[in-house]
Amino acid sequence: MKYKIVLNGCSSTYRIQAGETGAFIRNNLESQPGDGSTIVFYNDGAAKENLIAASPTTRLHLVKINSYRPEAVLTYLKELEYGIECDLYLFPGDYAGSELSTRFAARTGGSSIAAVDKIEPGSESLTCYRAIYSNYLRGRFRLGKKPFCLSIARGLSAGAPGNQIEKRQVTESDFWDLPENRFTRDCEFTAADPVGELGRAPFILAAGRGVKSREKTEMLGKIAKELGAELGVSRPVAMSAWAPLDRLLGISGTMARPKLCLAAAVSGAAAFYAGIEKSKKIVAINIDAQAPLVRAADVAIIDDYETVLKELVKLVQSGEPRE
Amino acid sequence: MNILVCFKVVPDLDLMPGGDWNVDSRLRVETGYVKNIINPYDESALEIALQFADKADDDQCSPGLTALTIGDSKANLHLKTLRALSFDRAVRIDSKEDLRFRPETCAALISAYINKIGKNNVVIMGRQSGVGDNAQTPLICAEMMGWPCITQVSSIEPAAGACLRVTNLVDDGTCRQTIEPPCILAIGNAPNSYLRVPTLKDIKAHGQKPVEVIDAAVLMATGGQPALPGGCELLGIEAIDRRRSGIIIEGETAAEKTQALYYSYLKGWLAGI
Ligand SMILES: Cc1cc2nc3c(=O)[nH]c(=O)nc-3n(C[C@H](O)[C@H](O)[C@H](O)COP(=O)(O)OP(=O)(O)OC[C@H]3O[C@@H](n4cnc5c(N)ncnc54)[C@H](O)[C@@H]3O)c2cc1C
Ligand SMILES: Nc1ncnc2c1ncn2[C@@H]1O[C@H](COP(=O)(O)O)[C@@H](O)[C@H]1O
Repeated sequence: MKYKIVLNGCSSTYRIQAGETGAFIRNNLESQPGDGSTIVFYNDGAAKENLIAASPTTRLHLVKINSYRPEAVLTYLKELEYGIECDLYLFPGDYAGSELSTRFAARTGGSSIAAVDKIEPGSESLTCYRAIYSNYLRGRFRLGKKPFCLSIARGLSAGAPGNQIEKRQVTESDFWDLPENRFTRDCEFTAADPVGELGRAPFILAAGRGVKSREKTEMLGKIAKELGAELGVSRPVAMSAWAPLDRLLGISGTMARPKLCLAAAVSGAAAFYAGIEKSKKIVAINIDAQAPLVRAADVAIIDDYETVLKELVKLVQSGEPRE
Repeated sequence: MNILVCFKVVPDLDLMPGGDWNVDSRLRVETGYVKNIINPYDESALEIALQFADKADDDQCSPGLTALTIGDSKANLHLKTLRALSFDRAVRIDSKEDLRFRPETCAALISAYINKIGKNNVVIMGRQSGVGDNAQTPLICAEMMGWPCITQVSSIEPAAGACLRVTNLVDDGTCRQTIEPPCILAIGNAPNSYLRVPTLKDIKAHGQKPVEVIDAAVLMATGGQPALPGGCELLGIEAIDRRRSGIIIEGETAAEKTQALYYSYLKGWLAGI
């Protein structure tokens, strides 16, 4: 299967994109890094040698653009690929990748699907798997029209080892001068850490709607510190602005992979659980023994979260000091 | 400014009793017995549109607001509520088709509505809707309309010159941009955007106003662009088993249970961090 990976080299997430798309290809296609190629859109801010060094395929094409705007990138991509036969365009699972994938399929008459976790190539079609029903179920789909344009599921291969490729073949083009569709009058950009504290944390204390107030959520933030954990929250807590959005766990937030997650007053809806399911160990604290998280945890305490956590802080602090 | 907000009514899947997923031979899932809600991102989209109108009112350039859904009569109650919340129009495109995995059909119907009836220049949608979880409708709609689309939007404010001040997340940060319509805005996580509840006064003033129903086939037959063929067909559905050992710690008091948790499990696990 002829494939191309399309990456956004203007973003500080480039290495993550390259890592997860490379891992997806290795896990799903019986192909060598030489079979496919990568198209990287980049601008002045990016160091070319770093883009090349992390590329998921041997061959890569660097496209210089003014700045990353989806409308412009789509125009360039279509121009670049005009008349070229390619079965599969693979995009990362981030915001930019999932947008480009759908829109590129619409422009090329191909078929598209977002957040795919696995594929099985056929001769004329592609079988794709992805979560449906708010992550409670998984669907198997057939894409019938080439080019197949996919974005991959978020957090699927986060932390995958880099792409070990000896020597790259690089070609380049420059779309610097093409006019852009300017509907934006002005734009202020504020950079944020793309992985975030939660993405890196080995220990997370997750708080759900059952904590009941902003004050209690703040108190849990303190307890998290005392335990040596980072605070994560469910959607209702973030939506009520009891905690900042970068603390959100789940399909709409961080897909964390800590060693340990204590989930207090969270029911364990599938859309939330996706954010903690890669935890090595999960502990649920809930007053309701029927809450779905109880079964999806390694251990559970059925009791009031506040009493349990305060007791736990005492135990941890009286115990032998941790390294 | 003429704003269209698209929302979908979905079953509240969090209320499905654990593991109780019945999939029939047509790959439909029985969800009839749980209550219907407005898809969470669409709820934010509707509230953000109302907040926008409140602010624009202060600037004396009040926008027209239409709420639109595609589906069957399940949505009627929600449409009435939106009418009471002062949406100028509440429209249902009546369709009994299985649209769960047809974002291209939804986008074609929405585009046909805009072109033929609504003449809207700002379209606000959710970034993703439950059941299908396609996360594609706003993007395909943007392609059909030939309009720009901004995704992961968290707030929209009026700006000078009939423009919009839009805040949205991108992969490595946040953008605040001034946008000239027409455009499509897909709402992502937006704190403080639970949909307001109509007061008794609202219901008295607007609640009885009619909801418009348009037949999907008629809409498409009279001038809709044919849906871009999606080419994505559902072949099967499987349940995801997330069970772990689920050991419940026994004890008389919370303190007793916590001690058991700590000494039997947590102490060791914490040492490994
Ligand atoms: C498209 C889509 C995307 C979504 N994305 C996300 C996402 O990324 N992240 C996310 O979290 N959700 C997401 N959701 C929402 C998700 O479906 C649930 O609504 C949400 O996770 C529920 O949060 P919760 O567990 O905090 O609240 P609830 O379900 O209300 O659970 C509260 C829990 O607290 C317990 N409790 C109450 N009091 C106490 C007490 N004193 N002590 C101990 N326990 C107590 C209760 O028994 C209950 O189990 C999404 C939904 C959709 C449709
Ligand atoms: N049946 C529908 N009626 C109205 N709007 C819809 C419908 N389906 C999807 N949408 C809109 O498209 C967004 C994304 O949906 P989806 O692509 O299905 O995940 C939703 O949040 C809605 O704003």
